[in-house]
Amino acid sequence: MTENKDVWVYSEKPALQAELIACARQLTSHTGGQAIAVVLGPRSLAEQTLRQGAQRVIWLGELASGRLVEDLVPTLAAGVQAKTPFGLIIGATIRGRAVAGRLAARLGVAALADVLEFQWDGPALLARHMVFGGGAVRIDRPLASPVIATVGQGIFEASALQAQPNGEIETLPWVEPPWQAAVIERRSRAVSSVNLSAAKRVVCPGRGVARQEDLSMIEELAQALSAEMACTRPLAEGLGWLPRERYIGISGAMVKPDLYIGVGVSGQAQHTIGMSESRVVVAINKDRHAPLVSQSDYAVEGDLYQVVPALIRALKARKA
Amino acid sequence: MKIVVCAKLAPDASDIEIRSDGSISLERAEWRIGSFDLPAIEAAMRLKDAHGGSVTALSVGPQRINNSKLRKDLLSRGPDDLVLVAEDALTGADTAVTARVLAAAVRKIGAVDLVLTGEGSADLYFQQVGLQLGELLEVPVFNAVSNIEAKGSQVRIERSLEEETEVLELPLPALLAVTTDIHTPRLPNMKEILLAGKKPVYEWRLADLEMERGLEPRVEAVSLRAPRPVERKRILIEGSPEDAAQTLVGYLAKEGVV
Amino acid sequence: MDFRWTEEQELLIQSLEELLQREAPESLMAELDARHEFPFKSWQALADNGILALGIPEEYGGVPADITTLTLVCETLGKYALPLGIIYSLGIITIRDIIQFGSDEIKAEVLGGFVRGDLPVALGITEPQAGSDAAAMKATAQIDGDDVILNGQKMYCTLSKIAKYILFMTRDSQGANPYASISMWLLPTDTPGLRFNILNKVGWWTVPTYEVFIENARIPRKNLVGQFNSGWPQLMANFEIERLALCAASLGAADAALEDSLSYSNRRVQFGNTIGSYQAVQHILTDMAIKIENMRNYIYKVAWMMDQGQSVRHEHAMCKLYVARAACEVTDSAMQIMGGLGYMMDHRVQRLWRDIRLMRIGGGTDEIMYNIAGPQLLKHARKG
Repeated sequence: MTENKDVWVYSEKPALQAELIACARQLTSHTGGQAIAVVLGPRSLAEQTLRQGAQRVIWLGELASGRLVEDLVPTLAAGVQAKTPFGLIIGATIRGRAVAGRLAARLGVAALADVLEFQWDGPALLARHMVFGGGAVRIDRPLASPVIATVGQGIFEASALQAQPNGEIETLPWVEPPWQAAVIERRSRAVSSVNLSAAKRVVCPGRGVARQEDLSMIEELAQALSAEMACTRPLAEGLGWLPRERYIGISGAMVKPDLYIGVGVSGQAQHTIGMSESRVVVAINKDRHAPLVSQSDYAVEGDLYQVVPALIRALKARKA
Repeated sequence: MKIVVCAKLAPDASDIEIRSDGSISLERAEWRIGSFDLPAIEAAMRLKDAHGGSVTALSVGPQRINNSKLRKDLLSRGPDDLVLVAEDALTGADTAVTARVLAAAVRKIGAVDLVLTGEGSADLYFQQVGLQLGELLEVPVFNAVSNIEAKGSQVRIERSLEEETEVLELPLPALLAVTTDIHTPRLPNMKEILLAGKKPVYEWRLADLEMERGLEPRVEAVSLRAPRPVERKRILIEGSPEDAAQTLVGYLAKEGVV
Repeated sequence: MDFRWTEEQELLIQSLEELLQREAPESLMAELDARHEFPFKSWQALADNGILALGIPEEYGGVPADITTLTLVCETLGKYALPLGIIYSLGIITIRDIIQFGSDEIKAEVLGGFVRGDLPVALGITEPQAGSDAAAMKATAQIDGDDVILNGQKMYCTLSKIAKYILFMTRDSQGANPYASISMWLLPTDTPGLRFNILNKVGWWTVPTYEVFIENARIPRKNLVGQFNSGWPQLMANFEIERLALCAASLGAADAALEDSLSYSNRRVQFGNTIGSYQAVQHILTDMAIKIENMRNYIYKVAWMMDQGQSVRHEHAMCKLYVARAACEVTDSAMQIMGGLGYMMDHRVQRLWRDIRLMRIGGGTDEIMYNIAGPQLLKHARKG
């Protein structure tokens, strides 16, 4: 494939799309090509995407009712084959992962998953991501083109909206997928309204919390801080005390809040990978040798059943 | 229903050792069935229990995965038989190569109605292989599947997306990558462990799959190291809960986060 | 010599460890202990996952397992959830007696039920005036047509009220030789005429022990287990494996106590260093580890001998004597290392310390073990 130097981006989430555009611009500042965003939606969205900093938009039109975002795979594959961009960055949502994997298979490459950073080694692109449950950092070099990668929310910073963008909107012919799934129902999940990755403050209980009913105490602390309630994986998946969306870690949410408070969280790598970029980290733990304590800015050594109520009182006193 | 369930046999990430220079050693790590693959095996077994048919476990990787205990471990969880493609040419295979070998094996097994995979591998967790495999097989493919109901030549599935649950119906054959919470995997009992040693294991070579081509890597791992720890202040607050809480709130106020 | 486990044993124990983490976590064991509650749900989980089926004949839903495998199961139960190890070990003697001597009808009822999650059959042997001295036993069985009428009083009858059955031992007062005058009956615990009085114990709070009063309890004659007046040799036939099982559970508990001690020694800082950096503590830890290794070797060897069909007449008694005392020493050392924390009710070491103490008494006291082993050793020397 003779490649050009453009980098395409796609995410069905406009906020993430804006971050991917920033990522693409960073990459094209090196390749010399353009940051091009693929848009599936109303024309207004295509226009907004230009304001987000895309130098060009490939607008695929609106998704017909009863169709899935994933149906764009054949169109995207055909477009990439025709236009031969340097790479394609896809938002690492569940749908995004599906698009990236299927596209990679069609194009005969391997997608780089959950990239945290791109680096250049001369002309060669390197991608950094976490493996072994957060226990190791791996740097991969793609050997085949195009480069396909997924990037999650909060990794790149979107630039400010441009008032008068000068990019163009073009289109690609729609390619019908070879099979279709019938959409029977979509129901929003009440619990999933939480967006941990956007939270400014996060309170996270761990296994140090002995009983489910004790979570009300932790919730009270979260309220006193105007924080979102998160949790470690065992609380969500083993014990089922909190919905899956609320757990932080390798297979869960990645957070980057200003304040993270781990309450009875030991700090296994599988968890800390999801919160290590928090600005201020606080650990409340009866064991000063818990791994999280050494990875925190402030650690309170003590029984969480005494420290948390005291902390709630101190926060309330401060407010009053 | 003829089901193939894919499982990755890989070193246990919790056994990794960090050397003083920051490099990583997996030499002492025990090799296990990927923890995200166990729910897929359970989902396969439940479909078989409800609708009959067969479940074949499929795993590809280096020679090392062809180990009697791992084989028994896999088969003790219910599958009727096991197909292994274990060759050192597959050491560190990238997702594209792995998906290609799996696709060739699924084609060779033949007349498969449903292929199940876990959400991702327990070691790398790229969450890619299942999706690539489905696309290579040219069948409907979905990830994040949290419920499966078979209805004749169709399946009705639920997908747990970030903000909604999506219910879809799709024709078989299909590939579904299931969530970790689709089912709690059963634990093998002695009867199943003893039975596992008697179940058929088919050892296929890459040559049997006509896979001499298509194995060139698409991605090269340049380095693997322990993550650099973020510098933290590491201030330890002791004393009575009331005093400690006051002190902490003081610090947090100074940081401007309360 | 090959000290490796078989792959099947490794897989079974791996599965059991995960089962216990799911169904009998330490937090639950601590809570049940504090509330003096039997771990019904965890016990049922053992049944549901085929652990209780081990060693039971296949026609009753069981699955073959040798004594070494059962020993590993007891050790694992002892390590992660000692009460389950205790209950399982106590059950081994009565369940084995049923396997060996029960009628087909009794086997179908009791073994089938056990595999499905019934509690083990309780053992009714000790009386206010008779413990290891069977000759002093006073409970009676009076034949009345197709029935038999039972009378007597049993002490330390663990699990009896909550179990479905008691294996009830009676003495034929006409018999001259007391050891040939004892009979074994399967007594349903809902039989009219039974009264239970719970006993307060130092440990084993989740495993209740009762004093049972039996007044004119009428049961069918076919509830006789084995032969009339053969109860004593029948009972003795399976004391060895029960003792071995109790040893294995004790080993697991001692191992847990060592684990707690090691992790505490690595964490607890005194005078600027971890307590583990002090030789005084290292010596205690090393002695604990040696005792555990010795316990393990002795237990596995006796299990292996039994699997080979060899007699363990004095070996099992010496093993129990050593293991019970060593386990008490190890749990006591653990409490010493943990200092004040070890004596607090919210740490598991105190529970292990209390629970393990009974191992020098239950299943035959230390002194009885000497009585078994000593004469055997002398007899062997005379032969040699």
